[in-house]
Amino acid sequence: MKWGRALLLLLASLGVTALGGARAAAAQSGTDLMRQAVRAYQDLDLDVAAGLIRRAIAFEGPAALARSERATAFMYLTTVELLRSRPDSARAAARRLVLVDPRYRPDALTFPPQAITLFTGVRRATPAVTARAAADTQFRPGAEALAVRLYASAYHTIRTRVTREDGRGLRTLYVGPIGDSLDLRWDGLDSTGTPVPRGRYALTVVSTDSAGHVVRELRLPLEVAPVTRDTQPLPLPPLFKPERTPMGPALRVLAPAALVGVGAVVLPSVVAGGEDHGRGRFVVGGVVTIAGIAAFFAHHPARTIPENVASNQRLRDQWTRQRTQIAADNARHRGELRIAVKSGDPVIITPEGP
Amino acid sequence: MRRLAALAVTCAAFLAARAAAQQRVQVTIGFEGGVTRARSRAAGTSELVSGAVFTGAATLARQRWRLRLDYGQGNLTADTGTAAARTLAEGRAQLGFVAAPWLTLWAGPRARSYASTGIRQRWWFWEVAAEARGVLFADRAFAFGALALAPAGTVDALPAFSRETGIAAGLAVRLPGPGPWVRLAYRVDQTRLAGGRRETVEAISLGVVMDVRPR
Repeated sequence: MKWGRALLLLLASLGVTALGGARAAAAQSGTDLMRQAVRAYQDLDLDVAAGLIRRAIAFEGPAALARSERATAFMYLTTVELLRSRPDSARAAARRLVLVDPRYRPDALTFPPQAITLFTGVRRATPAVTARAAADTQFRPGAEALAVRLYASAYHTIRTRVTREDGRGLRTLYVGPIGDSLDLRWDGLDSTGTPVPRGRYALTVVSTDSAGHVVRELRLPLEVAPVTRDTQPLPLPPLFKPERTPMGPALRVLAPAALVGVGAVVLPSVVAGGEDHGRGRFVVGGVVTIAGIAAFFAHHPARTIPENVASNQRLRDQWTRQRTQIAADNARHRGELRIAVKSGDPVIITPEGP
Repeated sequence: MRRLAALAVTCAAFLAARAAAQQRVQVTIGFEGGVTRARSRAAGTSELVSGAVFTGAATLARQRWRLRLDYGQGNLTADTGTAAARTLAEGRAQLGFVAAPWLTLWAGPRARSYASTGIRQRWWFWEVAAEARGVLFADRAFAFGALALAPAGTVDALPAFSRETGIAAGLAVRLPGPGPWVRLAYRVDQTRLAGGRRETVEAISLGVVMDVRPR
C-alpha cells in the first residue's frame, strides 16, 4: 500500500513538471519571458527572475525585445543582481543598459533607490552617445543640411566626423564636450567644400574619457545618392479661337450657285446639242451666279474677328509667360544638385569601455 | 376650255394638299408661268413654235419620300412659216426619294400632248431625274439643278422613240417673312427619235411655291 501511494505521488510530480515545461515552452517571445520574470521578481524569486531576464534579453529576430523593453530588462537585471548581492553583475548590466540607451532614466516607483543610485553612478562613468536622424531626407549640398541629434549618457568629450564606409575621414563636424544632447548639421560637403559623391558613408561619433582615450565609437550609417529633380513639361499651346471667319461656308454657298449658273449656260448644248438655245438660260444662269456671289460675300469670308484676335493675344501672352517661367525653372532644377541621404540604425563599434 | 382644266387641276391639287397636310404630310403647291419654245427638226426641215405656258404643281412630302404632280398648258404659235399653231399640255407624276439633304432622285411618267385643228399628238416618257440643290441663304434662297433621262417612251405618229435628255436650273428665293418661294427656272429637254428627228422644248418660267399648313 505504501508503495502504491509513493508511485501515485511520483506520477503526480512528473505531471506537474511536464505542465510547467509546457508552460515554459509556450513562452514564445522575449516579452512573454519578461512578463514571467517581472512576476518572479515581484515574488522575490530572484534566481528565477535573473534567469528569465537573461533568456529574454538573448532573444533575437522577431521575438526579440524592443529597444525600450530591452532597456527595461537590463534595469530589472541590474536590480535583481543587486538584490542577489552581486554588485559586479549589477554594474555590468547597468553598463550594458547605458550602451543600449544612453538616455534611459529608471522609474523611481518601479525600482528601489539603491538600484537607481547604482545605475546613475554607472551611467555617469560610462560615456556613450546615440544618434537620431531622419530616415530619408533630401537637400541641396552646401545650402541645406542633414540634422542629427546626439544624446549622451553623461558629460564627456566627443569627436564627430563624416567618414567613408572604410572608415577614412571626410570631414570633422564637431570636437568638444557633450552634456545631455547636441544637434549636428551636415551640409553634404567634404572638408574641401565639395559635395560628396554617391556612396555609403557614416557619421562617426567617438567618445573619449577625460584623459583623451577613446572609449566608444558610434557609427550612424548614411547612404548618399544624388537626386535628379523632376522638370515640368512645357505647356502645350492653348486652343486659339479662329481669328478670321472661315472661307468654307462662303465657298459652300458659292460653289453650287456657280455650278448651277455654269450648268444653265453650258449644259443645254450638251443635252440638246445642235440647237440655237434661247437667251433665257443666260438670264437664269446669270441670276443664280449673282445670287451665289451675293451669298458668298454675305457670309463674310476671311473677315477678321477682333474679339478673337484680342482673346488669342491674351492667351498667347499668358502661354509665353508660362513657357518662359517653366523653362527657366527647369533650367534651374537641372543645374541644381540635390542629394538624398538615408540613415540607418546607429551601431556602437567599441562597446567595451571603463 | 383647257385653261379651265388647268385651273381645275390646280384647285384639286390644292384641296388634296390640304387634306394630306392634315395627315402630317408636308405639302407645297405652286403656280408658274413662262415662255416655252418647241423646235422640231427632221430631214433638213425645222419648225419652231413658242408661247406662254402656265403650270400648276403640288408636292407631297413625308419623311424621305416625295410625290410631285404638275400640269401645264399653253398655246404655242408658229415662229417659222411652216409650223402650225398648237396647244401644249404637259403633265408629270413622279415619285421622289431624298437620298441626301441636297439630292432628290425622281422617277415616274411624264406626258405631253400637242393639239392643233383636230389632231392630237401624245408623248409619253418614263423618266428618271436627279435634282440637287445648294443653299445660298439658310431658309431664304437656294439654287437648284436637275438632270433628267427618259430611256423609254412612245410618241404618236412619229418614228420610234430613242431617248430623251433634259436639264433644269434655277433659283428659289423666299419672300420676306414666312412668305412663299419665288422660283425662277430654265429647262430644256430634247427627244431623239428614229431617223434623226429631234424635238427640243425649252422654257423659262417664273412661279410661286408655298407651303400648305393645316390649321
